[in-house]
Parts: sequence; C-alpha cells; structure tokens
Amino acid sequence: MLLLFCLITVISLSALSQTVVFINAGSRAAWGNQQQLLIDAGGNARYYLREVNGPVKDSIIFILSATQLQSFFEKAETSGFFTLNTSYDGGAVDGAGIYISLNNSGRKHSVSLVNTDVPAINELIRWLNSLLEPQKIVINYGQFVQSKRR
Amino acid sequence: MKSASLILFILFVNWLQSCGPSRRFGTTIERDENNPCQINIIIQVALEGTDADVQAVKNDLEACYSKQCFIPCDKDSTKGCMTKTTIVVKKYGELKEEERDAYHYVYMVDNDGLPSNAYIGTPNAGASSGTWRRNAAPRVYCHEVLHFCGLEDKYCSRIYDPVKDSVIIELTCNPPPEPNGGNCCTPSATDTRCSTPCDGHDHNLMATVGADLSCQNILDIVRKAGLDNCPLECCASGKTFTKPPPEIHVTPGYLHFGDKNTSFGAYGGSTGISIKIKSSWGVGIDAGYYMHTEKDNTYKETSGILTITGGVKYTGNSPAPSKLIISGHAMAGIASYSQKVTVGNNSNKNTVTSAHLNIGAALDLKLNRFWNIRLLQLSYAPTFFYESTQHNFKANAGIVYKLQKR
Repeated sequence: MLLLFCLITVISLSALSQTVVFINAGSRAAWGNQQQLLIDAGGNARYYLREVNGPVKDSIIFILSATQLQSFFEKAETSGFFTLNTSYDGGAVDGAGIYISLNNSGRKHSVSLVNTDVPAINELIRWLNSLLEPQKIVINYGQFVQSKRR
Repeated sequence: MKSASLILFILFVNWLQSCGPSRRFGTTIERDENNPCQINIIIQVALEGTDADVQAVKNDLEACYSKQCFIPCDKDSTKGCMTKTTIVVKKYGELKEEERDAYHYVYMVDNDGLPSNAYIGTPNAGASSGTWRRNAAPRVYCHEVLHFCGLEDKYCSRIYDPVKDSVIIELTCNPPPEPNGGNCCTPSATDTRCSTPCDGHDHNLMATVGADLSCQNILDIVRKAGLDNCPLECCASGKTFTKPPPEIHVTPGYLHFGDKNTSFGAYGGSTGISIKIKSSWGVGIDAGYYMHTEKDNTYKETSGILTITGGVKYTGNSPAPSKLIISGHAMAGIASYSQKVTVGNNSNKNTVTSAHLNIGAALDLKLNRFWNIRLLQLSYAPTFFYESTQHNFKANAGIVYKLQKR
C-alpha cells in the first residue's frame, strides 16, 4: 500500500515538474543575447538571459498561478498556435527569432520564427509578456522593430 | 573678398568630392579600367538613420575594409593581382531616386541586444538590405556587409527542446560535415541554444565576430564575381604592376627668382601632364609662367619667366587607408626671361633663354578616382642667365585631374 502511494506521488511530481512551456527567444546568430523560459505543469518558471555561448546575465525563478498558466494555453488555442507551421523563416541571416514549444495536456507543438513576424505568435507572446510583467521580463524576438526590406 | 573666395573654394571641393565612385550595384566587383592587375570592389550602403549612424558605420566599415589582398597567379604564386575595396556609406534620404537601387539598404534601429541581420546579396546584381542595431559590437557591420556581398554564415546551431526532450537542428554547415562529430554543439536544459563555428572556420569572420576580416573573405567575394584569377599580362611581369591614368595638374604658385645681384618674387602658375610607365615611375612635362612688376611714377619694369621642362616623376606607395600621396620630380628644360622696361612713353624689351632644372616634391590629397588636391609642391628651379646661377624656389598648390573613363 505504502509502495503504491510512493509510486503515485513520484508519478504525480514527475508530471508536475515536466516542462510544458519552453521558449527560446532572441539571437539567431553566433553572438548576441537570448532569453529562455521554462515553465512546468505546476507553474514553476525559470527564466535566463544569456549571451550565445556566453555567461548568464540575468535569471529568476518564479511561479505562475494555475489560472495564469491555463489562460496562456487558452490563448495558444484561440490564437491558432497548435495549427501553425513548425517553421517560419524571413530569409535574412543572423538577426533574431523565437522557438516556442508547448505541451497542453499532452498536445504538443513547436513553432520556430527567424527574422519574421507571424500575427498568431505576436498575439501569444503579447499575452505572455503581460503575465510576465510583474517579473519585469519582456520576451523580445525582434517584434518591436519594424524590420524594413526594400 | 577673402570670405567669398573661401566659400567658393569649399563649394569647389564639395563638388569635386561629389564626383566620387558610383556604381549600378550595391556590390560592384570589376577589373580596374586602367590596370588589369587590380580588382576593384565597390560596396555602396545607404542607411535609413541619423547623420551619426552614417558616420559611425562609415568609420567602422572603412577601418575593416582597408585591407588589400593578393590574388596569386596559377603558375607562380609570387606574382599576381591585388584587390582594392572602396566603401561608400550615404544617408538613404539624401540619395537621388535613380541612385537608390545601387545601394544596399540598411534600416538602423536602437540596440536591444539582438544581432543585426542582412539578406544575402549577389555581386554585380542589384542590391540587398538589412536591419542593423546601433552601436553594434566591433566587426558586426563588417560581417553583415559580407552577406550583402554574397557570403553565407559559417556557423551551425542547435536548440534543446525540454518539452519534447529533443535537440532541434537550427542551422547546419554548408558544406557538411557538422563539427563535434556531426552534432554541431550540445545544448542543455540550462543553455538551450548553442552555436559553434563550422570545421575550419574558427577564425573566420563569417563564423564569429571575434575574427578580423581576412583576405580569404575578400577572395571569396571576388570568386562570386568570377574574378579570382590574374590575367596573363600580370603574371608575365616581374611583379604586380599598376598603371595609373595620366594626370594633368594646374597649380598656381609663387616663384622666388634671383641671384646675388638681383632678386624678386613672381606670381604665376604651372600646368602639365604626367604619365605613369610603371607603378611608381612616370614621365611628365611641365610649363609655367611667373610675372613680376615694379612701378615707380613713370618707371615700370615687368619681368616674366616662362619655363618648359620634362623629366621623371616618382610616386610613393602610401598605405591603403591614407589619402595622402607624396611624389617627387626631377626635370630639365629651358627658361625664358623677358624684361620690359617702360619710362614715360619709351619702352625696351629684352629676352634671354637659359637651361633650367626643376627638382622637388609634392603632397597630394586624393579626393576620388578623378581628382586630387595638390596641397603643396615645393621645387628648386635654378636658371643660368647672364653667366650666373639663379637659385630659384617655387611653391605651388592646386588641383590634379586623372584622365580616365567615368
């Protein structure tokens, strides 16, 4: 009986600690800054700002409430994240981008953007940035720059 | 009057500078019209940004691309051709409509810690574009310009996805293989994206902005234009030769004429042409006329000195970034000294000729392909009138025009 309880506890903790939100945003070159955010099913979040192949410049551990995490997944659903292509490339080299990988109750999907904009991703990250505002974190993959191409 | 002259001079210099190199493409790679042993690379970049952006990017790129590189001959690597890169950076808004397609377009934005980007261009075809961060790390703009010139990155990258517990291939090396046994690099849960130079490119600016621009980068660009070879006429000569275009100079100046018996200062000028026969040596002719007048009531004495000389000219090879050119000349010829004395209504004119030497040096400032400003030319120009030696000195300044096709 005790063994069964321990097994259930371990499985539950393991499920809770499984990363369900992963974001790597920023540099798509061999230099520059990149941000990474990992959130597990329990809302435990780890954020790092670091240079590519370089040291960590900033990090923070915080918790998102179950409601907040749920709202993020709902936003992912309504924005159409799970139906997006896996990759969008603007054609430029170096520059910035974002890789988002989500697991919403076993439904997994990842999207990569490089030097381009996709409205659904902009909408999702805008929502995420509002959730991260208390931590003074702004996920930046170049969406604030109106990139111009002649 | 002096202010007006100064303004006119500044306007004239600006006009001369506006005659700088301008090509049809963002990146133009061509054999020099006058010297088949020289490959000219002209890169034109137009920034949509501030005047400070233009100056900062110009400084950065000019420092980076001052390098001249050697293209060895196939059969004898001690002989070959040279490359010369010219960077033109202008403000996009100041370009004429018809000029814009001949410039790579760069949109300048504030530095948010993210890298600048660029679209890969093609030499001798159109122009490319990119978005650059202000105050970027050294050599970043230099790297992005290499993309404009057609070069690809030489790094690979991987992302670790903890949701899928798998490594995602982001960028691969072209050509393969990937470094580190085909894995490129190893990202982890705490360092989820990694990047590393492709094999053999650890010190390549296309792999890391920690590396300087290399001649290999320049030769890779030149290869894109199919000009990574040296013609037979260059490989057959003793060394890479340069055959600059003929130059015409017009130099107003001052001549101090005289010997122990008589001396005076005369104003006038010189003009002439010089033609290069080797990279440093040339021949030239020079003609000048200087005049001096003395007046005292009804007495007037006018002295005129006409000189015609021919000889050799040596031009030093200044370092590539320097726009200053030092040359020396040694010429011989004849001088004609005419003296006209007028007293009241009577006048008497006397003309004598003499051998004449003209030995000196000049300092030019290169403005563009066509024009130099002769900042100063000093010459010792002795004459031998009346069985005596006049130790004359000349000081001139003016302009030099290089006769070549636009």
